[in-house]
Amino acid sequence: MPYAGECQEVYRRASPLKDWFVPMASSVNPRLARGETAQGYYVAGPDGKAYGWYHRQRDPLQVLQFIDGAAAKYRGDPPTKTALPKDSVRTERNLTPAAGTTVVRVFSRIRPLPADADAMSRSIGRDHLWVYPHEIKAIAEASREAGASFSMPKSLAVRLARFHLVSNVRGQPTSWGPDEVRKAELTGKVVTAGGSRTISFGGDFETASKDEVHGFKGRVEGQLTLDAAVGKLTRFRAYAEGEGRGNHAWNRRAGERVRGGLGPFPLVFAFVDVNDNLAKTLPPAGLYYSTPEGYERPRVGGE
Amino acid sequence: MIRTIIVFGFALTLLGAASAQEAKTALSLDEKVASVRPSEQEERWMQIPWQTDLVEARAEAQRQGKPLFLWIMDGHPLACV
Repeated sequence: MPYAGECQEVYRRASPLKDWFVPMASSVNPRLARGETAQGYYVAGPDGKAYGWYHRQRDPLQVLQFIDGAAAKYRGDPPTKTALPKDSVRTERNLTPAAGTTVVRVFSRIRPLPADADAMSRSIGRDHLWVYPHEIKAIAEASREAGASFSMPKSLAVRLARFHLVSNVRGQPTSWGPDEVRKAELTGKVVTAGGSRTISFGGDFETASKDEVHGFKGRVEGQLTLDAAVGKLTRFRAYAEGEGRGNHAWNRRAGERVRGGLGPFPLVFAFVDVNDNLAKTLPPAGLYYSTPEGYERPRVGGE
Repeated sequence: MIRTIIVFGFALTLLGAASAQEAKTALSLDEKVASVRPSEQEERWMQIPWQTDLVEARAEAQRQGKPLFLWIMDGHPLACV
């Protein structure tokens, strides 16, 4: 039974999930037992009996060997049937989008990719962006006339800058802080008005750490379709490209080892609205590491 | 099924990301977006029926009499890395 989860859900926050996961994982993962990390693959029984842990995740053949070995242990010592909780605890946190929220899947890559780039640099960054109902309402109110130009909601522009224009290709990044946003502007223009409106948008973005070592500078362009009668976005497409330098947190350690060291390195992003099961169940990474208010209405500068 | 997808999906994800580099000039917005989106080969690992609710996954594993295979990461493996 394959399950994919975030450390925040099963390990870092107090919950019934943690009560089940930590004893199981600690029995096979010495790094977790030392208080380091829970990351990796596990094979376990539903009763909490652990059959193995593996952390060298980028070697598929070794992963399969791990699965085979753990499965053999499972067959030799099967779990005992146990009473299981009936209700999920995921709903205790703000992990699902509220009605009217548009979920946008965000992909990122390093482009152009150096010929000798390592495997991690060839990876694809993934995240979800939430566009909130109050932002869609603001766009609807500002887009009644064809040809009109208007400022897109500031909260959306700052959210893009702080949480989504990040170098997550090589792994999990942190977000930019409020004081690291130098520019976050999105201007909309009404292409077609009426009940179903088409609105193009674009703007320049710049973030930088105080010491100027880490940053991103680039441009976003996009187009959305708004059903004004029901106040919903029916389509959202955007593309961004720019230049990153330095790195973020976990990536920062890797930066010294990759070609070009701390950059600069070219980044491209694609934003596509989605409505599949993952869109409904997996929140933006920023929500795991920020408060709901901090992601929905992100601060900037001296706010 | 899962074994096959893991082998080919992971390998293609790591090796195939640089393909389809397109010229930046004269591309429409949709073409630019498409140039960044993963290819079908790069998405094969997503064909695994990953559960995202551990409570449901435990219950289903018990019903089916199968072990759990857990993939745990800082940054959700399916969407937030």
